[in-house]
Amino acid sequence: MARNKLSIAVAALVIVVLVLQLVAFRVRENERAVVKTFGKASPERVKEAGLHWKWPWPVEEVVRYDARLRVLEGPLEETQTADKKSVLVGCFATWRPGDPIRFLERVDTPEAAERALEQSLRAAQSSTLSRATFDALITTDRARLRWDDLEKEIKARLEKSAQELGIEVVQVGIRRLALPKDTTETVFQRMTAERDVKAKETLAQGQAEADRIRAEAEAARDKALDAARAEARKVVAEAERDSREAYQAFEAAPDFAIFLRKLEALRRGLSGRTTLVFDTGSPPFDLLAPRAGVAPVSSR
Amino acid sequence: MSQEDAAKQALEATVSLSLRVLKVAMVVLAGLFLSSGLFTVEPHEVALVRRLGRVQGTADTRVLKPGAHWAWPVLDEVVRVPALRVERLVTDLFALAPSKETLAGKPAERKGGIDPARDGYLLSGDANVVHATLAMRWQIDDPYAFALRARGREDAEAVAKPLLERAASRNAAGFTIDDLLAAKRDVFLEKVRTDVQDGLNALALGVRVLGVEFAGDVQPPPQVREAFASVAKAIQDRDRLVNEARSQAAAISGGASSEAARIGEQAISEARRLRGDLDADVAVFHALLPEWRRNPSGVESRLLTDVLAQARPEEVFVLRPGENVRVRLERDVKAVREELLRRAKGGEK
Repeated sequence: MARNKLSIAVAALVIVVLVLQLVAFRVRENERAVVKTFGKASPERVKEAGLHWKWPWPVEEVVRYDARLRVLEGPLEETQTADKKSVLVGCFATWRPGDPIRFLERVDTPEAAERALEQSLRAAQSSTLSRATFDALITTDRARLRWDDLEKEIKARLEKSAQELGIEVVQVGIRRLALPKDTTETVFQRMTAERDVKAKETLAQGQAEADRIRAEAEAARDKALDAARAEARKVVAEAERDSREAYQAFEAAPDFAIFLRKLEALRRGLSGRTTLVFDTGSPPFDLLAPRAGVAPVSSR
Repeated sequence: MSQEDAAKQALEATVSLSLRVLKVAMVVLAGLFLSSGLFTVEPHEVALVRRLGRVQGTADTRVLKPGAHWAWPVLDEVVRVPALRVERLVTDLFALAPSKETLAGKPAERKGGIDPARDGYLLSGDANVVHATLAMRWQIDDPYAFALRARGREDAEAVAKPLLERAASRNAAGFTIDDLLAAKRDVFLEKVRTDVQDGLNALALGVRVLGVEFAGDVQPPPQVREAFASVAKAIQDRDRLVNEARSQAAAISGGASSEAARIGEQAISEARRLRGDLDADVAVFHALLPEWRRNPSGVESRLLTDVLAQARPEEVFVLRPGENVRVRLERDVKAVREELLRRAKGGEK
C-alpha cells in the first residue's frame, strides 16, 4: 500500500511539472510578453512581470521582448544648413520595444527594428538640420546654440514613425559633428592665419607687459627716491632750524663769528688734494720775503 | 517452505530494499535541490533575487551585499550586478586614426583636409578642429535600476558612450579652441560630465559618472601643428620677456630701497654734522671771544696761520713780489707740475 502511495505521489509530481511547463510562464521585469492565440495577438494578452497562464501549444504561444535599452548609432550624414553650409552630422537614438503588439506585427526582431529606425532617423535628422543655421550648431556664444531644440525636433519626428513600429524612442542626440573634407582644408588655412596673428599678438603683449612692469618699477623707484630726498631735506632743514638758535650766540661779535666761519671754510678747502699758490705778502709766507739782513729764501 | 514461497520472500526483500534506496535517493535529491539555492555574492558585486520575474524585497532590502545567501531553486533567479567596480569608458570618436607614424611613436602626418571616415575630431565654437580621446569613469549606484534597464557592463557602456560623445560634441561647439586646448579644459570636462550624468539620469540607468578626462593629449590637427607650435613659442617668449622685466623691476626696486636708505642716512649724518659743527663753533666762539675783544687782529692772524700750518696741500707755490702767475687748470696734474717746475727753474736762471 505504501509503495503505491509513493508511486502515485512521484507520478503526480511529474505530471504537475509537465503541465506547468505547458501552461505557466513567467515574465521578468525587464521583459514584455505577448500571448498569441492561434497566431493572433491581442492587447489583452500582453503580459507584464510575474507568473502567467496560457493554453498549451499549439493553442497559445508566448513571444518575449527584451525591454531593456538599445542604442542605434546612425551614420555620418552630410546636410546643408539653412544658411547653405555643409555639415556632417551623426545622431544616435536610444530605444526599446514600446507597444509589443505593434512591435510583433511590424518588425518582430530588434535587428529589423533598428533597420527601420535608422531610415527614419536619417530622414528626421536631415529635415531638421536643413532648417537650422550653422551657428545653431557651432558658436562661441553659447546662448545661441540650439542643440537641445534640434535634438527634441529630431526626436519628435522620429517618434512619429517609431510609434507605428511599436518602438519607444527614449532619447535622441547628436553625437558627432564634422565638416566635409574640402571644407577642412579651408579651415586649416584660416587656423594657420589665426595662429600667426595670435603669435604676433602674444609677443607684442609680452613686450608691452614687460615695458609696463619696468616703467612701473622705475616710477616707484623715482617716487621712493623723491620721498627719501624730501625726508632728507626735512631732516637737514630741522638741523638748520636748530642752528638758528645757536647763531644768536654769534650776535655778541658778528665780525668774529664770520671770521671763524670763513676760517672753517678755509680749513675745509685746504683738506684733500690741494695746490696752494701764495705770494710772499701772505703770512706765514711773508717770512720768505726779503728782509733787511736776511737773504731771500728760494721756493718752488 | 516451498520453492515458490522462497522466491516470493526474495522478491519482497528486493522490492523493500529498492524502496529504501529510493527513499534515501529522494531525500538526497531533495537536499541537493534545496542546497542548490545557496549562492555567494563576490566582494565587487551585489545581487538581486527575482521570484517569478519580480525582484524581491523593498528598496532597502532587495540589494544583497557580498556574502552567502539562499534563494528558492527554480522559482528564484539571482541577478548579479558589479556595483562596486569603477569602470572606465573610452571613446576615440574624436581621435586621429592610428597610422604608421603613431605606431612608431612619432607624430601623425596628414596632408590636405581631414577624411571624416578615417579621422575623428571635435569642432570648436570658433569653427576650429581639435583631436581628443575622452574617458569617463563610472559606477553603478542603483543596482535595481541598472538590472532593469541594462544587460550588463558592456550594455550600459553601449548606452553611455553616445551620451559621452554627444556631451563632448555639444560642449566643444560652445568653446573656443584655445579654451579646449588649455584655458578652460577643466570647465569643458566638468560640463561634459554633467551632461552625461543628466542623460543617464533621464534614462534612469542607475549609473553615476565619477569623472570625465582626456585620455592622452588634446591636439590640433597635424596639418596646422607648426602654426600652433609658433604660438606656443610666442607664449614662451612672452613669459620670458615678462619674467625678465619682473627681475629687472625687482632689481630697480631693491636699488631704490637701498638708495633711499642711503639718502636718509646721509641726511641724518649731515644734520648731525651741522649740529656738531655749530656746537663746536659756538664753543670756539665763546672760548676765543674775550681774547679777540682784546686783540682782534692778533687772534685772527694766529688762527689763520694755524689753519695754513695744519693744511697738507699736495703742492705750495710762493711767488716773489712782482712775479706774475698764470693759472691753467688741467686735469693732468703731472703735466701742470712739470710745467711749473720748468718755469720755476727758468725763473731761477
